[in-house]
Amino acid sequence: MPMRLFSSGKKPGSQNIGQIFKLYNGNILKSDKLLESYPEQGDWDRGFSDHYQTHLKALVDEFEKERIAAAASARKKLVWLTPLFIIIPVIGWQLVVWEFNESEDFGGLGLLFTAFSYTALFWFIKKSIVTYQNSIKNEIFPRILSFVGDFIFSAEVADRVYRYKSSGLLPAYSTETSEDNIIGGYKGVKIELFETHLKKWKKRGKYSRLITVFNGLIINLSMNKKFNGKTLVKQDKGSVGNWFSKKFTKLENVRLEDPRFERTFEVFSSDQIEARYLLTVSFMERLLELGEIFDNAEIQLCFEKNNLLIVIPLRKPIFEPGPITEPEDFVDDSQSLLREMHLIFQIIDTLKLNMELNL
Amino acid sequence: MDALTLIIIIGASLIIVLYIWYSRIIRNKNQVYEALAGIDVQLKNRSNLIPNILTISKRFMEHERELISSVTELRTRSAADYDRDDSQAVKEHVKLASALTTEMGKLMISVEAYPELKSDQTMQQAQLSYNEVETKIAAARRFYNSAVGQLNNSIEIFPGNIVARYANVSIMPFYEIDEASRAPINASSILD
Repeated sequence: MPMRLFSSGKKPGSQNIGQIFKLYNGNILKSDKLLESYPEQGDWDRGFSDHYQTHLKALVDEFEKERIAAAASARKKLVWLTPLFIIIPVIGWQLVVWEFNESEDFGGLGLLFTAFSYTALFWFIKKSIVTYQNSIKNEIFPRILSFVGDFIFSAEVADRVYRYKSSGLLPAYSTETSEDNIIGGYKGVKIELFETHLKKWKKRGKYSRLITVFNGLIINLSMNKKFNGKTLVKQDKGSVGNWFSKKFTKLENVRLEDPRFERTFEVFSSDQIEARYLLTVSFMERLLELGEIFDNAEIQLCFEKNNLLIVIPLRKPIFEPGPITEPEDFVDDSQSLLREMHLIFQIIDTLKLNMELNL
Repeated sequence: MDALTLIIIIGASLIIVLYIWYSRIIRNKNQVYEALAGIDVQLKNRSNLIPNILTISKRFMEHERELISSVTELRTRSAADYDRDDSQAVKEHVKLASALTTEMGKLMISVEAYPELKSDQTMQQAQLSYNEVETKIAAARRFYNSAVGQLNNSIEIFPGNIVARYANVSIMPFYEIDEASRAPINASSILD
């Protein structure tokens, strides 16, 4: 049975507002419940307990001290700045009332002030946590990844999306925040992936706001098949949406035999025969199966220059360290990272990209 | 609105509908030609590959002379020129191509019975290239069948049947796999 994204329920790492408020609890500064060994859970982490003892166990004490220091710093700021959580909305409300009375049109200055102040407040409180988590990503993640193969991990990525802009799968954007670049190989297939968050300035009334246009994973995989053209597999947008897609592309629409596939995807290609050479009947089946693995995320693909680009929108970030409120023994980090890498490998296994078979 | 205006409006509407249908049929017909040309490119690639395979096979496959000569004959016949506007000629052409696929499939299965031939480096390379070409033929066949499906629908649905008669466009045959390919394979001779 294939593993599914976030199938474990708890997603370690996302430092949401709820996690920040857990810092009020002083117990988070205690170093109890540390595991002595790694508890293996399935096929995806089989044999990792030995790797854990050899490559990670020795660093637990050092990083637990770092975690406590970072959590203590964030907790101190949170406690001291607690009154601001009440003061900020009060000032914001006063600004709304003042602006409503003074100005003819309601500009939302009070709302902007509140949003900006809270963002700045959370950023200031989270600063030490983010530094600590980056040290986990930079020092611990590569050690965990070495278990699954020869991978290079970089927590910070700059201007990476422009390489894939011409694919036609990504929306127009104004700002890019990319992270967690992983480069390596699995069963002879070259892998490069990273997470990205794209935003675009959109005008709303008097003010422009940055709106998220894409948040997810970009995966580039090498393919055994050789091809010259470009084939896009996009999500089906219904008859009206598809009609517009056809009008705004230079590629030809490709009608395929599988009705279930046709209901889910819309295919465009520069070469009708090449599109069918890539999207064989069994490959279409596998692609539908892949959608299920990623919680029916709206997966889109681009075949170009002997590579397969896969774009997967995600509701939550992946490749994130465990929460700062839990003792640091790297078990959560290892489990989530190995599980997520297993998902990436499942793409290759499911689509059989490693095989020479032309099926 | 007087009767004359009504007749003119109905007449103009009818001409527009018939023209749209006509252009659709012609577009579909051209796509069938494009798909057919795509098949022919791949069939030509296969045709170029077959002599190499036969030359290597002949050295080892003494008992398969009949099969080899059948492949040779089908290759020659399927490489012959044909009239793409004549649906009967197209039907014959795709039938020959399909029969050649079947015979080549039999030949490739027979190779398994000759360990020396199977392990021959040149044969292995030829088999890989052959499989690649067959995959491309399959892809081209799918495109052709999709184009033929669209063309035939536009011809068979009224008023397409009338428009097609005046446009001199007829129903095109699907590229179906050979009957022999559908038959279950008896692998006992190889496995025994």
